[in-house]
Amino acid sequence: MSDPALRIAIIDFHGTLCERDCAAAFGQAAHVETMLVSSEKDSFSGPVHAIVVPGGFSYGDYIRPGAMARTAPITRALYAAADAGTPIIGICNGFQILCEIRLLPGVLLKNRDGRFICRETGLRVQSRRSPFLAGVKPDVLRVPIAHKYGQYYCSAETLAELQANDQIALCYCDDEGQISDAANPNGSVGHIAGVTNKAGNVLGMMPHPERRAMPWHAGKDGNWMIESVCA
Amino acid sequence: MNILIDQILNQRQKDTLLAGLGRDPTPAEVAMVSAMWSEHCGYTHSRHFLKTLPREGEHVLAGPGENAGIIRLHDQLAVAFKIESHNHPSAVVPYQGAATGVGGILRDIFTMGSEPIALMNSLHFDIRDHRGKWIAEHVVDGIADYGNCTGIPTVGGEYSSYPWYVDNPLVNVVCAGLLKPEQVLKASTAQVGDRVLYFGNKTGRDGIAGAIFASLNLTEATREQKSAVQVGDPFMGKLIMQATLELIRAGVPSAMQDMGAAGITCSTSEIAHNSGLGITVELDAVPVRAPGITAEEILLSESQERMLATVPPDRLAQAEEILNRYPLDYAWIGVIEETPDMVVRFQNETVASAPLDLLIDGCPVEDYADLTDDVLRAGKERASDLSGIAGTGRPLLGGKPSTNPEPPTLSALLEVYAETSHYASARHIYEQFDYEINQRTLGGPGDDHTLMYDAASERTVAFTLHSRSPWTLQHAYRGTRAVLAAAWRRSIAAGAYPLGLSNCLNYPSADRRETMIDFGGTTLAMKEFCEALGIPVTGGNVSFYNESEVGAIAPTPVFVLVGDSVLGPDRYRYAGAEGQLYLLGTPDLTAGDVYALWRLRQDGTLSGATVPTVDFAQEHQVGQALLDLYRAYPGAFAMRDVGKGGVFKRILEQFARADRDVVLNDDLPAALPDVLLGEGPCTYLLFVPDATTLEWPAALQAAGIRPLGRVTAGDGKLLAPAVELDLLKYRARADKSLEPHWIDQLELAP
Repeated sequence: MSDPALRIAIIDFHGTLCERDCAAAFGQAAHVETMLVSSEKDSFSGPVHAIVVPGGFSYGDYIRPGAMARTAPITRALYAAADAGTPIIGICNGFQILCEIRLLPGVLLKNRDGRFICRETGLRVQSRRSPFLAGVKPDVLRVPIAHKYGQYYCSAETLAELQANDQIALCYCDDEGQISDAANPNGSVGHIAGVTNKAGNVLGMMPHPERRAMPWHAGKDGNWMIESVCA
Repeated sequence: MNILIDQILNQRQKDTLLAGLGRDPTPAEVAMVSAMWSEHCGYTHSRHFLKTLPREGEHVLAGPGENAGIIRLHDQLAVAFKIESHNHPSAVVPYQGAATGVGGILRDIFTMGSEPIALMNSLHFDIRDHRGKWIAEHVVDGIADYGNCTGIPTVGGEYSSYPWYVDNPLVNVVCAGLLKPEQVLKASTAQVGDRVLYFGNKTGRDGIAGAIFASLNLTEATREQKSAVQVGDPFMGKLIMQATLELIRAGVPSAMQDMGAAGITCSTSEIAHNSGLGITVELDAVPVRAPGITAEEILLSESQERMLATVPPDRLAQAEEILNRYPLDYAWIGVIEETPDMVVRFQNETVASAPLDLLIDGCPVEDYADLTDDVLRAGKERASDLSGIAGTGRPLLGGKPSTNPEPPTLSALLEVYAETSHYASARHIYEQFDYEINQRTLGGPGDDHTLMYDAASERTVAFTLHSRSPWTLQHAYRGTRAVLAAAWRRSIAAGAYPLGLSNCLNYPSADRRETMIDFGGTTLAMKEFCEALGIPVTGGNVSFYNESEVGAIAPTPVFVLVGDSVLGPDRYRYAGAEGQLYLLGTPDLTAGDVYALWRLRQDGTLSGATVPTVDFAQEHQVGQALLDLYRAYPGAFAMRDVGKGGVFKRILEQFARADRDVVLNDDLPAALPDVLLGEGPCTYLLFVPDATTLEWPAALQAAGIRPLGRVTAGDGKLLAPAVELDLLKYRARADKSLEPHWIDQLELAP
């Protein structure tokens, strides 16, 4: 048996919920193998092409979303992979975790109106530096959010830095691709839906691309991102 | 001791217990009996009627008595499903009450070895005042937090606001799960010598039933810490779900039951009794979190997120190996015995030792032999006299009292339509639920039908949830028949012949004869429906005593139907095509809920309102013909049942677009208000796009299918003879969702 060309690691914390959705969506292509990696491990036991930190409620969101994940052994492996330039994506709770372990700047606060929101949103691709976005052809994707703590916040200085370094990857927009307060579902500063680290290899985003990816889904915009990183 | 019994048990129960034991009971025995012989566990008032329901069928893999019903959908797939009420806790503490309701129904589903795929809910409030809004908002929040955190999508539901839910909201939650037909694990398959495994949360004093609690010997410490409200922990719920499914997949347990009502008492006694065996329980081994907790408290605690399993002796190490990987407590708390007794030991003493036959089947039940089918069919007519029904007798907010109102005009009815919360988009509710997680949702909230997709078998499961309190209030028997026929039509429109029925029967006090006539009328209607259409009842839940000082709720049976749908990912989805509208059946305005709401606003009654008279054989014939049509023309046309809000609601939801008009024909089958806002037997609305050529089967021609109008180029109007309506205006109001109704002037306290 020949090794598959690409191995994608999907991190599984206690309370992670979207690990199987991500495995199904990212593992669609024949040349991709996904593997679930417990957060109790401190390495990936072998080379990985990319890493997905999926959504959910790791550790029940106790203390605050993503906070408990900091103590998990897998974070050491995440730091090493981030330094080595491995493509990493944190989706929803995964984004919250990447912020909590300081691989990404900023924090995610409770939504502007205090409630959980499950809704399809427009996403304007602002930067294609992340390997998950490099191959995305459209400028606007339709992908749903599902979160209570998704209001991205950072200081004015950090926001300026993000802009200067081209770290703002995705912004909420309307059907026509216009970025506006009305299209911003949760009150995120700068309408930010996703950011990268300075190097560009680590991406965090609140919307769920894996929910617009399967053959039976009416919309399939998430596949742009999946195919981008698996190319 | 006798004083204690007198406080907790009635005379008949006391006599039965003393005769059964042949001695005075111990305090632990009184505690256990009080729980097991309650309405909740013992079905004391309802058993007489429930035992008449058909529960057998070729598709039934598990029926009433198990944690959930299981139906075989096809060779590769079975579905476990159940509905349960959490009305009383939600009335007192809406957030926790609703959240623990979700936790409980989830446990019922995964306990059977099935993987939960969908949650639904049936929510009924009276949102006219602050308290009602506060309850509604926090119930939704509680459901959202628990469901979202466990990763099970909440994909559908129903909502109403009527005056009879003042003080007594109804919170009914549904869960469904999928499994392979050969994977079913029951609560009746324990073997002698199996060890009894407890896992999940520790046992505390939360959720100990108030009446029993107050009657037992309480310590000072108990009084200080007492709480009748259970607290949910969805993270723990998710962990025990994972652990349970892993144990079952590894073939470790011989039987499984979750700890719901009456906690350890109910789960241990039922698992042994249902297996035809006995059990010894060592309470000292139970993980507890409250120091000094008594035997009675451990036996009755309803602490959430706890599971019970029986495990053969050669599988103990394997069970421990699996459970050690989860951050949860577990303990071996007993053994399955040959002798059919329940023996409970605590601090080196035997605190209870009673025959299980007595504890479970010995429960004295009420006999209603005098309530014959004739009495139940006659029932009680209530349209104009709603005395005793909560919140009625005065007009709904915004209405003008009137003793002799004119028949309503279309504009008066549409005003009701636009101003009540019933026809507003439920987005404000369902957007708080994660309805897309797990990638299975083919039709979710806001869509025409509730459809879940199974990629492995490439099949779709359809779920239907339905209740209509204005009908069941007017007449329980005829109303229930109409509700069931409406639920049937919803299932047909979703492409599925229903294979199983579950029910949640919400009623006022069982101590009143009137309630039991209503209850019996409902069960008789269910029996007729199930027999006529060959649909088994696979489980259910009874909630009595939904009343307070201000009065009683309307009888509200809520039904769930499950079926294997012919609709798939390629089903027709309206995207702006021009085409023809067809109507089946003849809607009657007075049978619709818009009329009921108009009348309640006028004078607080349902005078003039009617219940549709339905013929199940006719519904069956039409339904089968429509399913055949779906099969013959896959993905070629759209179909909706005509239910709440009538044809108008369906036109508004689907065809109100800035570039389309809906033009109704001149020769309408009834007056315009009837056509737009009425309901009736066998009523469906079909849309056939111009690109599709349909040949109507003879059965539908015989049923009188007729053209109703056209969807054509235009600017958002509905045009009927002498009437022009601005659909976009009504659509905009509906799209504002419930927020104007729920949120305005509502302080959102945590």
